[in-house]
Amino acid sequence: MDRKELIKQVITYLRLSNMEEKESSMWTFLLPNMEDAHLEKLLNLLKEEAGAKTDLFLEAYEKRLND
Amino acid sequence: MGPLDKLQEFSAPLLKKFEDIEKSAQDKRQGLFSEVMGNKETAAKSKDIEGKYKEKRHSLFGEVFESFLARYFPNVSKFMDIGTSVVPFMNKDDEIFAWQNEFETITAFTLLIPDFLLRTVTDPIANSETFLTVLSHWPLKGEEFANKIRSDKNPDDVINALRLMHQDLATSKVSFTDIKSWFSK
Repeated sequence: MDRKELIKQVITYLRLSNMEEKESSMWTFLLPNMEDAHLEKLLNLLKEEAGAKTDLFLEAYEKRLND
Repeated sequence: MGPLDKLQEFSAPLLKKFEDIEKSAQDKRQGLFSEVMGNKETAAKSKDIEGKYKEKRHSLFGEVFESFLARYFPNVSKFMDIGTSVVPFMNKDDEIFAWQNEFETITAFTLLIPDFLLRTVTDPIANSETFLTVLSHWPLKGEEFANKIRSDKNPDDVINALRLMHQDLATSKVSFTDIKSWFSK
């Protein structure tokens, strides 16, 4: 994935995250000067968190339907 | 009434209707999400996930900050080099403007950092004997500041000290010669 696409994806996932506004702004500010390896790590963390929250939502929703 | 006005008159209620439909769908989505995630057990699990990833981002921020220091703050990072007895301001090629810029940028940078990450930036400064030695000689409350930082390592005190140092360097109240003389004593 090229750097532009990497940054674009990080921004997308930052918007999905529940982190406080100040932290989200800080990461957005840092993005252009971050090393690629760090961008990838951040993206993976954000994706993992979004995935975990989605799994939790689906699990809870299924349980709610079955109750 | 011109054709544009007619078109506007015709489309306005339609647009309003679209907006209402969109708003209603959004409310329903948010309502469903809040309802499902608001369950006590699910809410607790959700908090755990957030906490776990907040901690991971904290650790990543440490790496990112280290990389920023090395690339953009070569002078300030000397203060954080605790393992060695690096003495700042001793190189005859040192430019005071570079120091001023770094002090200013790192102080501004701290304003963007949320509280839970602040210590990653300020602790290495608060633990640096080089920094504390410079600060303890600083005119007007320097020693008081240094003792306070030594005892509780409060990030706000570190930031205020950096701000004070930047101001005094920028206004030439303190010069390189002064600082060098503190180290030669």
